[in-house]
Amino acid sequence: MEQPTVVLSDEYTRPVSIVDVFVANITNKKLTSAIVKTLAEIAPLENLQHLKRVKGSKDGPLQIVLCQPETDLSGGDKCKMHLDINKIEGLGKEYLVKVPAKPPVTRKQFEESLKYWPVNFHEDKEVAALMSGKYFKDAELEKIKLYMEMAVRLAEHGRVKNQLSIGAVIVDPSKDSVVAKAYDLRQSGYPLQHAVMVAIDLVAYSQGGGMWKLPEERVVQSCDAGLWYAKGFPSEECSKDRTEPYLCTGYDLYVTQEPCVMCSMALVHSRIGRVFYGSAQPAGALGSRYAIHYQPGLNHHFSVFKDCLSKVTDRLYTGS
Amino acid sequence: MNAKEWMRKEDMTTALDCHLGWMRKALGFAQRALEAQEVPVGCIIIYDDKIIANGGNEVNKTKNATRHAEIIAIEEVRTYCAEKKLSSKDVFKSSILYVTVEPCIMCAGALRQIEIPLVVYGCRNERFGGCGSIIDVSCDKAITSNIGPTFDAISGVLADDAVSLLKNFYKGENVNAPDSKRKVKKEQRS
Ligand SMILES: [Zn+2]
Ligand SMILES: [Zn+2]
Repeated sequence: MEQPTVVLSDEYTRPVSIVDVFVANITNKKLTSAIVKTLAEIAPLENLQHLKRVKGSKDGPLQIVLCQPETDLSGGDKCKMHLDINKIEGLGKEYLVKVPAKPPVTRKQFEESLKYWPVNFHEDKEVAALMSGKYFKDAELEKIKLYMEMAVRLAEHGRVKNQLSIGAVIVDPSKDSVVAKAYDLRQSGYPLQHAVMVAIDLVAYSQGGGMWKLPEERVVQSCDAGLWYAKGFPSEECSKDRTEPYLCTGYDLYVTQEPCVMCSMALVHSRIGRVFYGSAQPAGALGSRYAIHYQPGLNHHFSVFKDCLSKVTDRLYTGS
Repeated sequence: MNAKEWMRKEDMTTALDCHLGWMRKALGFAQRALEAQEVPVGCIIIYDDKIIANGGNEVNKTKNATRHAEIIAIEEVRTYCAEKKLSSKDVFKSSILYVTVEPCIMCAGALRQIEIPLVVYGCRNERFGGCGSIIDVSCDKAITSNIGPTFDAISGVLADDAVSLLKNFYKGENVNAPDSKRKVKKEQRS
């Protein structure tokens, strides 16, 4: 199986955005440190802290960032500089250059940024690993494949029952065991019974809750398709200091198609650990139309991987 | 009167009076949720000038974090329709849903799928709101093919009453603290 693709927020995938700043050449290089010191006091870089203040080049002059242009509220395009540099010795006349507007968070953005101006870059090792295309080891890939194949079988089972071909499996990765398996039920007259919603309710059953009266509930380990949840959470031998499962905390979801906005938010409410899905869809909410798993303002974020076994899952949705 | 007629209603004062009246009923269900130690959100669905379904939060009771008042009420409409031998699809299409707090992103998605045309709510939901506070699912046309038509939303009906119930629930805790809800739930379960 191929490596799944991590679905990061656009902070990581966006191209480098640029803004104008005033810079000046340093005409007397001996005064550089004094100039840097003065400017740090009278014109801190504020939201442009990622820029290195001074840019040197082989044959050209040393350049130094002065400040951002004043925002012209009248809407005119004339850029004004509010900073008085006449009293600073060793500086030439100010002029505008383009610089990266935001700190780079990936190596790609860093390299792109350098084309404009030197910037600081602190590489997030985890993100770099996620984006490397080598994140999962072979043994992990085998497991992802196994659970995705299970989800595909559920999707096919659903299709046989005149449902949409969507299957979902929720796994407790700490025990490498399946907690709930579901296929989509929305065609039976209840539009909310998407595979993911059904799987979440089956997890609630496994914890002694649950609400939907679902057909075909099974507690048999060998049940290959159909609705299923593992009974006995928390098990009796759970000692008191071991925390009982709380909703889907720490669980992984495997689902054949990118969840819709309702299901994605249900996963936030349920505090899912990670999501692996097969085929993306334009209205999907974990990377396509929205990225609910990284939505600013929400109190729970989680990792999402797409293209899992997508050669197989794509066949479920193209009708071939 | 169906929902479409509502929206075309010229007599706005009467319309507002009706909204206030129904919202008071919804607040009653929020109060009940509070008494059951659930997050106090109440919801009713009006069809043919009658309450055909109601719901309060049942997250703790069902150990399912998706059991919001709106979802419970939607579920009840199905039962109602089964008893009355009505098509739930048709009933949803001419109903109005009243809820004391702005539907969350999940419920907004659910409300589109049942094709309800009008939602009236009380206070904003700063943490999870799906009708504009976090994102606006209610009117995003790009997802129509996937989860159904957009719906209209009227906000701010008896918002203060809804807020004071929530404050009562979270008591000393900051309602906007990221994990306050979870903390409360955990305490109740232990
Ligand atoms: Zn869904
Ligand atoms: Zn909700």
